[in-house]
Amino acid sequence: MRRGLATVVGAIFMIIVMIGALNVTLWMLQQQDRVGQAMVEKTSGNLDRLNEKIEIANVRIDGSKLNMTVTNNGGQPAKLKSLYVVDETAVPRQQYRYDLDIPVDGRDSAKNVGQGVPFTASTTSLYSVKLVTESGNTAASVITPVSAVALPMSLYVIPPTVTPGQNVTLLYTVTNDRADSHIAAAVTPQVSYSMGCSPGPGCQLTQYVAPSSTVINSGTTALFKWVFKVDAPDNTTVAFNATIANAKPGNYVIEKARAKLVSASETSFYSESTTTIIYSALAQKPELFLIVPSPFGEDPDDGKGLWGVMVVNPTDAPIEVSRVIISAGPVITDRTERIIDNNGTPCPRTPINPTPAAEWSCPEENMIQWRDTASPEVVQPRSVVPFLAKYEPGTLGGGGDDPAFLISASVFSSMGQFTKSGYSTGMRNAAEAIGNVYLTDTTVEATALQSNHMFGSMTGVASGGEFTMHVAMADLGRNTAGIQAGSKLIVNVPKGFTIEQSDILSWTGFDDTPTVTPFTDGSSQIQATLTNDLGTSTSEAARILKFRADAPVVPEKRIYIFFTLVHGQTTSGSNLSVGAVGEFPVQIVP
Amino acid sequence: MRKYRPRGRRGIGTVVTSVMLVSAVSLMGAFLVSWSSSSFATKQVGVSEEIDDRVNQISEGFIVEDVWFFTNSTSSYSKVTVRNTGDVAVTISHVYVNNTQAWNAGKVIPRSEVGTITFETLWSAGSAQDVWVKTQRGTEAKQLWRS
Repeated sequence: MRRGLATVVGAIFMIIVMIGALNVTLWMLQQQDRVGQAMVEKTSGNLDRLNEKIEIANVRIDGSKLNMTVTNNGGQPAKLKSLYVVDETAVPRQQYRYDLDIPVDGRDSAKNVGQGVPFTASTTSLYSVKLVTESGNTAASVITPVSAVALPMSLYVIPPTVTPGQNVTLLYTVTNDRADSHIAAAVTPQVSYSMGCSPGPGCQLTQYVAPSSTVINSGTTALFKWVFKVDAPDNTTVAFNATIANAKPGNYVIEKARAKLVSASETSFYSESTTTIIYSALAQKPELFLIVPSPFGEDPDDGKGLWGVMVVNPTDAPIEVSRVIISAGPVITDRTERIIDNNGTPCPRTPINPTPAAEWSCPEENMIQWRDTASPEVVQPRSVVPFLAKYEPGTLGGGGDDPAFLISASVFSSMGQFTKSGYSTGMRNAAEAIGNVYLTDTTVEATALQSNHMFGSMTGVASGGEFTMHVAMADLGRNTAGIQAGSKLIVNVPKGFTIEQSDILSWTGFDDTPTVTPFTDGSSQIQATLTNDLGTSTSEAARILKFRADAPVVPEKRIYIFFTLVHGQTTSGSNLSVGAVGEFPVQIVP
Repeated sequence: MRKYRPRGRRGIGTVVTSVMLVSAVSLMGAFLVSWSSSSFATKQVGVSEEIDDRVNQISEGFIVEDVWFFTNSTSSYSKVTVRNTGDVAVTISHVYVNNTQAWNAGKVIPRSEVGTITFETLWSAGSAQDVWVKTQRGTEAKQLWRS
């Protein structure tokens, strides 16, 4: 029984030792597992860090604050913890650091980063910015002022050859090709221009469309647009210089356009009615335009109606005019019907500059004549000479009124004699108004009634320029018959002139407000309605309509006709129609 | 012929021998157990410390966020900003600039915190400076920074 006891005891001890060794082995394995676990965690952290891919997609200065858009293209959320800003412009360079706590989810972005930090930025300084995430990733960029970079830019002028009076479009592209930096602020496009003509109403650009500022991100191109109306003489060169506000010196682009009346547009322009535009299309001959009073009395009180013939020379050679005659039509069958009376004190009259009294006469009943065969009046090429005179109405011998009878005008010139008819006026067989319409140079009615303030044409209006016109509607009779309230003064503005409602400047005596009606052919019509009866006292009376308009751009001298009339009736017992006509040539010069 | 053997003395030697043997075995066993326990415990402590150090070293991490070189009226300086990105606090023990020890004052940066270390050093503007940051546990980061 005792035999083997020591073996047993030894075995017991060995077992104890073995158990201890086994425990140590197990403990060692556990410790190794700790190390392994730490390695796994470390590796996992490193993988997470690698899965953060932050990038500063955009950065600019907004309200003196940084404004960044930070994208995280990785799958792992990131948390922005530090912002570094280096003012590279300062001497010495200055660094600023700010704590952040802004999460950026995976494949997401964070906007307005930097708006909350107390850093005041300037759009004229160069900054380096760097963001650091909690896991240690960084993203950096540079904010560059516009004044520090030369941005590629292009300018397109559409069309490069523009018709005067038409629009030109400028397309301006600016590319931000800076891959490693961002432009500090929104880019503001600017354009300047120079024109090869003397500045003035006929030499100017009117801007209709202007672009606004915009942010140009890296690698993108911005397109800006201007629209200008070009008012310039033919063949004027316009140079456009486009740049951006605070641009780097030399960072601009220049393109040129030419203002030119191309053949097609000229043809179209000239093919308008010859009643509005005078052009030497076919025959080389003078054109006649009239001022006709309607009605033309009777006026027993020595009032005089204004008659006029405006001789226009549409040719390129001077025309000598030796005789102008206005005559009443054939309904006057009885010599006692004296529209213009040459009996007794023959045809009392008042000449109006530039023709002197001696050149005016009434060679026969119902006939007005201007004559100077010894020294004919010269009408220069593409110009006009008015032949104006006030004549006293005669008397109707018959028993009734003559509401309308034909008026014609003849001219004898170095290019032949020509007659124009188609006009009429009327007379009452008793006291009646003398309706007239003419140009004047004043808004003072008493002044406008003076002969030296009566005109039949305008010359020397600048091409494309603004000009002012005074149109008088008058009763030149001196009896108590007048023009009824509600009668209208109508001015037809030819195509090519620009006029708007706001261009009606003065209309005393007319209803508020005279209307401007544009027509589809480009012409316009002004209508002014008489507020009260006109000329019902025993003196002459006038109402003045004053307006302004922009003249068309013309390549050469050109004559336009403002066809003006009065439409209404008189206050007399006969209520004759008031149909005074004034065809006013207006010369536009380049 | 039969020898007489006194009855009371029969097997004593065997007993004594057995007792001695058992005693010896017991003594040796006890010594062995005692020694092994002591040895294991000692080793365990050492290994445990070593494992802890290794785990801590593995768990620690930092990045150098930025190095800013600046001067004032008297001298040139470097400012190293370190972010602790690991799971344990780190103790920055040394900073070398261009393989020259520039700082060794020691700085503890808690977990997820940022610490700045500013020290005097020579640098020339626009050149690359080799900045080497070491922790007490031996983790290090070496990077070039433009001054």
